[in-house]
Amino acid sequence: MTTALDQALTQIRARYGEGAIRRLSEPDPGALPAALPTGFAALDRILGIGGIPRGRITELVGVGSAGQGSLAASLAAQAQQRGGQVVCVDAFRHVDLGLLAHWGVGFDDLRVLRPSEPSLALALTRDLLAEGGADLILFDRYDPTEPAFQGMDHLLAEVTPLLGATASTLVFLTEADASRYPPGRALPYYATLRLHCQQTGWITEGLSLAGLVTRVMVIKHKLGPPTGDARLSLRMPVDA
Amino acid sequence: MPSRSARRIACLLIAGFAAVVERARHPEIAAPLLVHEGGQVLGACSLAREQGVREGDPLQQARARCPGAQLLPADRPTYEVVWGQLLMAAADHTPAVEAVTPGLAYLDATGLVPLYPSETAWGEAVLSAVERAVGASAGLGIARTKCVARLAAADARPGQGPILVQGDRAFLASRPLADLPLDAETLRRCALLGLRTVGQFAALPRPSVAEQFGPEALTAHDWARGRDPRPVQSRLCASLSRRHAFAVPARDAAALYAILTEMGAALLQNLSRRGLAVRWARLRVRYEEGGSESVAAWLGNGAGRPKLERALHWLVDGLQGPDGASGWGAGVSELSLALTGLEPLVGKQLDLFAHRADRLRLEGTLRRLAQRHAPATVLRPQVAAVDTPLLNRRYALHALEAEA
Repeated sequence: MTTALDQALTQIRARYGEGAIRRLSEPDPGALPAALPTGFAALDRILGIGGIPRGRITELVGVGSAGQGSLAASLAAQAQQRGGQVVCVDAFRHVDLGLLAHWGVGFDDLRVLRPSEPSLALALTRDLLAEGGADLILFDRYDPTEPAFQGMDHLLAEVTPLLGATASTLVFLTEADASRYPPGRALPYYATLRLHCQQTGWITEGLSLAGLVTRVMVIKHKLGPPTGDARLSLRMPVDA
Repeated sequence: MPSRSARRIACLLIAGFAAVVERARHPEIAAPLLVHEGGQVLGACSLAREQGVREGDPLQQARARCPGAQLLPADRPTYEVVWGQLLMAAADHTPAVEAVTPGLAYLDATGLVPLYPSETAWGEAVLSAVERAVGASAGLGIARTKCVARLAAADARPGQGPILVQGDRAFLASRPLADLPLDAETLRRCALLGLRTVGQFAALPRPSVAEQFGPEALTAHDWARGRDPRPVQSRLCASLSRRHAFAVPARDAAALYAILTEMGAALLQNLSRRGLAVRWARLRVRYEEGGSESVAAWLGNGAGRPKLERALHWLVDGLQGPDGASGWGAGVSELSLALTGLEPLVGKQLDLFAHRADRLRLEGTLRRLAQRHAPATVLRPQVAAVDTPLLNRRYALHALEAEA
């Protein structure tokens, strides 16, 4: 027997589209898995959703050698293991291919976008998303104090809805101390998840340096527990 | 002769491997051979190499250097099969084989003295096994370190036999500095300082090398002093095997298949319990009349019972018999089945990305971006030199537009 509610649902679907309304008890046919695992169980656990959110902006904040690059490389490897395509936006022309390879990123499913000037990197990212995006986009790197990125914040407003439409995941590697982040920047506002990486120690083997220990703190999370921290052991690639 | 405990590494080198394979497939071609792929030279035969052509050269440049060369498109699947056969042939003589790239492999030659009359005899056995597999001769260098073994292998001439190096540092001392993994700028500065040979470079104090040429030069300095700790990293030779001896020699095909199938099933069960995948099945039979025979089949990834059984049938059908022609019906007294090339089984993961139906879509998108912004905007990373020890020179970026 058809109830009035069923009739209403049918009418709404006919008028606004198939996914416009549904009962929460019904599966969402267009739903994407919520998160992309980071490759670190401890971090996935504190994030609450099993990884970084898809279709959103994630920001990895930290100052040099804090482990953002390794964490991003691990994310890229995880995305590729699940059949994803990875694009790295190399704003400052210093993408570390050795690090990516060390973390298991395959070059067949990796492309690098290198704008002629850093100031064009965000526009290039927007254009990529407007054309359909990629499963994971690594923005390497965003420096909030860099004049090239000043005045570009409006592009983030264009990028955010495109991410949702294409289900692309955009990860910014930000070179800054979270506590001294310049005020007035739009990225912290648009980011769904912000993680602060801080190097806390070194891993040594004999007299050789083998890696670093990084503390990753959640400083903003709109889809999960808003606090928490995990310690990650990140081994560095070495010359063979 | 080195002591039994001394580390020994052999380097097996076939320069221009693709061209060598093509030469064996097309013996009627007398002209220099160039195998090309994507506008670049993938393999150059020895004649072409004499005229200055090297792998990775642009094809147009190679044609200019070697105008009479015969061009052949690359056939990678064939090269991989031949390379696999070569590795299997080498694996008969060593506990560990590290395949670096088609044409270059390192073999563990440590502790082989009790099994062979001499290290030279071992090297010759490896070379003849390789020659049977590929139909061409290879260079083999044996030394204490990978670096020296590689240089010795490059020095070997076809048919010369293995080159044995007992003192790595002495071998390197008189060689030119360009043999070390140093960049052009470091080589230029060394020349200005009057450093011409590896021995002169090795004599420099280590802190001075780091200060003058940067920490990257320390690896080369260690090598120059005969210190190259890189081990032979092998996955190929990890294997599981079973043996069955017949009380009465088997002459019945059905009985042989039944025993083999049972052995294969037991091995597969063992593999599954240990979370391993397998790449090769190798059957070795011993005949009643004396003599033995070994045949191998490539199983590829994800070998299950049906795939293995098909391979076993194929292997048994391929047996030649003790004299190479009579077939195995003469009587098989012993069977040995080995599954080789064990690797961790990577679990299949669900595809998280529902929208990744078409990988080409992204390629098209990136090409449009390259047109809109600049051709060099979209880049594809590639392994530039797989064997170089320095990370920053191992990989390179190439413009996507240039490949179109």
